[in-house]
Amino acid sequence: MARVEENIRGLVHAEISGAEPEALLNACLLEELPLVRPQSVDRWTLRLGVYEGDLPRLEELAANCGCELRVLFQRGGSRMGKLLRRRLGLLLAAGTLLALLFISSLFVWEIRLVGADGISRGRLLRKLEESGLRCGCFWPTLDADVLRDRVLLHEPRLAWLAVNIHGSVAEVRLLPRAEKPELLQESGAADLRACHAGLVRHISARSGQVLAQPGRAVTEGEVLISGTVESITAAPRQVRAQGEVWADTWYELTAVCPPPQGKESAGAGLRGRFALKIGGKRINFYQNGGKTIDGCDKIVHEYNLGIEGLFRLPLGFVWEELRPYRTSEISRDPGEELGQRLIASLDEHIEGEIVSSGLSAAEVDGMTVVTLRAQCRENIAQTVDIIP
Amino acid sequence: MKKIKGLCEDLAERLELPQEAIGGAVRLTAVGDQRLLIENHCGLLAYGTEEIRVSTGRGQIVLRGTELGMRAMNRAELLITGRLQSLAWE
Repeated sequence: MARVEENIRGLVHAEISGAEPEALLNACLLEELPLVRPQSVDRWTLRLGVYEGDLPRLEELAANCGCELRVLFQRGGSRMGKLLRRRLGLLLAAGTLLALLFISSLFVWEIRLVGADGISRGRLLRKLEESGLRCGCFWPTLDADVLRDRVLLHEPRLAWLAVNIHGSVAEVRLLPRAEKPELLQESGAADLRACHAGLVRHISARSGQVLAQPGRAVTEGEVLISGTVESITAAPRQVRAQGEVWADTWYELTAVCPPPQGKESAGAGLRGRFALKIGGKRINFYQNGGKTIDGCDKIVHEYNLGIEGLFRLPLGFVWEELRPYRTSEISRDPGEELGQRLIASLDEHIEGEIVSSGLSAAEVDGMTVVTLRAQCRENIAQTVDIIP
Repeated sequence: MKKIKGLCEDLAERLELPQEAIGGAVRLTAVGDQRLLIENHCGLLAYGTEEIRVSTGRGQIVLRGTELGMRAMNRAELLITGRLQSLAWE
């Protein structure tokens, strides 16, 4: 801080020589003349710094004390002013840049969504825009509470949101609403019915009256364990049937896949296109930007001017790489891959295991039709409430 | 003047007041061996990197050391920095 003051006020380094340089120091003390880092060179010589404005007084005091004052060099003050006047253009440019940086930092140029898992990003950005937060908006006028209330009103999947502004970046922290868990009903009369036709192999009942028997075939919807329990001594009473019924089931799944597509591989030649981004606008330096170029992969690189996490300017450029590709035939059988996906899908669907499976494929009208036949062992019991 | 100073010191002693407050006695505050604040001084008598003599009105304080220098100063206070080795009243 002292250095800054010295540079602004201007510091003159001088050498004092005389019979008694201490007399000058005492005179300066009495006159309250500030001296900077006085150093003794020898018995008759002192070197010290004095502010530019105090130099005439020091010269006068030196003359009164019979000392000789010699200016060694000067730093800051009027000297710096002269130097800066010579570079007026540079100063103006730096000042303008600083002013632009400051003004730019008052506007939002980037919106970051944090925690938007499972919610459409485009939908959220549209809701935020409708509520006042958009690229290029003046953030000091934004009211985070009003913004939050408006967005939460129109987006029921959100539980909370908070808007934090860092420079020109608006960070929107989102908290999705937790799904209401399905309530497990433990009371009320219910039957256990077959959710799929099959051959019953094993029954394990905890409550209710068992109707199905091992070795018997059941159809979909048939009561396996009844919630209505007969009694010899009293009227039938209703309970909530509980248990597991394991049965062999059979599935036949069919899927169709298109003929094998070609595999992409990099081709020769590489082209690039350039575009400039100013605020929310984009200026393309090429024509026919809306057309899709066949046989080319488009890789877009976006660069924004600014310092990550500190500020961002509303300027940037886009470089689009157009990489041609060639297609070649795939030797792999597409039916096999589809069959594996069918098995995986069935395995995920059933509450049990696949005992055996078989795949068959056929060509129909140029399409590959894959059929999966599988035998499974699964729990087919499904709770169905008895409506009185 | 000296009589008045003596009277002030007597008064301060009788009233059990600090002498530097009434009598203007010199007061030294040392921070380790690198910093010394002298209050109520009466000017410099000699100034060098190895010896500084400060007038106290009734005598002089002789500071000896290496790389001695004044960091700040005004009419009443002197802040001396450097490696202080000895301090004597003469």
